[in-house]
Amino acid sequence: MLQTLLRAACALPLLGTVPPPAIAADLSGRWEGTAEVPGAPQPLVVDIAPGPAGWRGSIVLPGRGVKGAPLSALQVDGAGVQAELASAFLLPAQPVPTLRLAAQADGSLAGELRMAGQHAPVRLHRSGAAQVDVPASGTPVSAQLVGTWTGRYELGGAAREVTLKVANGSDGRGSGEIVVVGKRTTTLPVDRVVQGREFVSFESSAVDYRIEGRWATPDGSISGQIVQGPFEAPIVLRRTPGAAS
Amino acid sequence: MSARGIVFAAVLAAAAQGALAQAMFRGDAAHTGVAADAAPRQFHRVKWRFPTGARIVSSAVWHDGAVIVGSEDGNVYAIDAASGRQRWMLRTGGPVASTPAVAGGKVYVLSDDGRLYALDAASGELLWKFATQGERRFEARGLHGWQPRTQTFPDPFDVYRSSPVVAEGVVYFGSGDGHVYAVDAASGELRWSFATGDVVHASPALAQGLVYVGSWDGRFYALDARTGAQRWMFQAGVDPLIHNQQGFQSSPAVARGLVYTGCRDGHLYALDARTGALRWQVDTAGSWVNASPAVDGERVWFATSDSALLFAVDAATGTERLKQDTRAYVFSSPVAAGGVVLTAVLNGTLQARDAASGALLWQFETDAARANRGWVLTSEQRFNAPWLFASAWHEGGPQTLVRQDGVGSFYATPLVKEGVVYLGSADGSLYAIE
Repeated sequence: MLQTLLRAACALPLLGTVPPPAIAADLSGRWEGTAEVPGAPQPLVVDIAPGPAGWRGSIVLPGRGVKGAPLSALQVDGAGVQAELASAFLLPAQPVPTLRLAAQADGSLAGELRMAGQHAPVRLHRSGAAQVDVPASGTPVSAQLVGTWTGRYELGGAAREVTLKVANGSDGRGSGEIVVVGKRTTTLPVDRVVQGREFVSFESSAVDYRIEGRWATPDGSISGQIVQGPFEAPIVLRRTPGAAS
Repeated sequence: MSARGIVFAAVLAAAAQGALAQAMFRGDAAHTGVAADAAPRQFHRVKWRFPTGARIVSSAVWHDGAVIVGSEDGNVYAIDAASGRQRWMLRTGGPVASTPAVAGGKVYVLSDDGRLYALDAASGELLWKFATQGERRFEARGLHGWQPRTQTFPDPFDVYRSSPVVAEGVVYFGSGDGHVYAVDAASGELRWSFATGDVVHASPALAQGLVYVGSWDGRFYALDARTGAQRWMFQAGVDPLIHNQQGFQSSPAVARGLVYTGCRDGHLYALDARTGALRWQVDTAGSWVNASPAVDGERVWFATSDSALLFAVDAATGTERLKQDTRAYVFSSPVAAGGVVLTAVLNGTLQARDAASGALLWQFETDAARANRGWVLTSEQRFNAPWLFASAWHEGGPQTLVRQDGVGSFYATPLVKEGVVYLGSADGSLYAIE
């Protein structure tokens, strides 16, 4: 049970896009309706639109805490829409839940939501223009942050040493690596960095691990906390002496 | 226009800009609950509806053509008021049941992760976070008579989190850790904190250099805004047996030297703002007053839960002037808006009444309320309590509230701007109604 709870606490978003067939532009939009799950109808809000690199879509599940989860393996054509809901649920589901909808003569989309060997009828009606939530991308990091930083934190009574390496990747956005040394050594890729005017976060989404804090501090440190699922601990990171900036 | 006129106009414009630059729960630091704009006297349509992933109990505030609101899906949203489209979204570490405050181009809001967030109002960029000792709901053994009485239950009716008030570069708010905090608005550095005896989820009001707020310990406090020192304290009712008739969820309003606040002990209190002396009280016969009062000139508007009543009383004496049946529990705070009083109700209806007569002008109902799945409501739109309350044991009590919310209950307080009413629902949507 503990593992299940931790997986729930550390659930991750996944992304996906596929190229748009030219004939499907008329299915672009915001679609709203219900999945008729027995005894518990689930409202759905599905947004679909062509993007620069293919069709993209997102889903809102009111009442489930999900706003703008990306639709993966999205296929849109004149006949309907298919997508996987790989990241719309707190716990990862296998097989991945799917949404299969066919365009109807009355302008609606009808089909089913499949999950865990079950299927629920779905009918959606167009309610307006698409409002696809695009997953937030990272930012470049400034020269003040590029380099190697070290710090220490305690969690559950155990001390851990942290080394954070920060660089700008080939796409121009911040990236890096976090090495955590406790009873064992764990190396985590940093796949999203967001540097604001005062606040910065370094995220390793694979394990829902994040270092965040203020970077523009008077002593030049990064002062904040590590966050892993429901756990957090204060940390101060200082630039490694002699490391290039 | 003369040069003098131009200067005067510029001063007026600057003052108006200043008024627009601040937005918070109940409209101003004194929490008077009076909207500058008039609410519509007729219902025309739902202009737009913005769906989020979870219940909205946070109230919307206005900033630069956008409405800013939190959702229990963990996000803070800025939604373009004209189009209903999202301008930005910021994910916090927990549900957001606090109403944002906007001042000096920054948004301040509390999340259930126990942190006060400061965001750039234009972009949603995270500027800083201030960590409290953590959020929690009010809890007590045998709460509301639930069984087993030896067990501690978190209170599912403790829905709101404290909403910040911002004045002179300081952000004031309460916390589930039992403290009232004053934090520097620019840097997020702690100025002072004040410990009460229990959860503080009411939203502080500020007037004449004093911070006013009630705690779930049954006490109402006036604190020096500069130092946090206690100036006075008012002891309201306590309920050591089932803790049902105790605590402040209602946030105070301050006007003409009086502080008005509701209390779960079944009273609306009017206290002397300078001394804390009780001036008058309205006894609601045990019905909670969780909604925050609105002070509209000579009258104070407030509403009750179990007795489902909207009252107008004389602001100076507490004498009843008007009483209307809202049909179901009211947690949302009445808003006085240009001769119209708006009351949002837990049965999923928004009711607009003529302020002079109390007559119902129009009513908006959520789709979920109309559908009334599971017979949550009676045919008269009252809660179908005998059907809903199935058991007082274990999770029976909290589950009742979940079922109740299925009609799209309105906990949030309406925002009125330019003839449009913005209101979040437990169905997860923010509605723009005109």
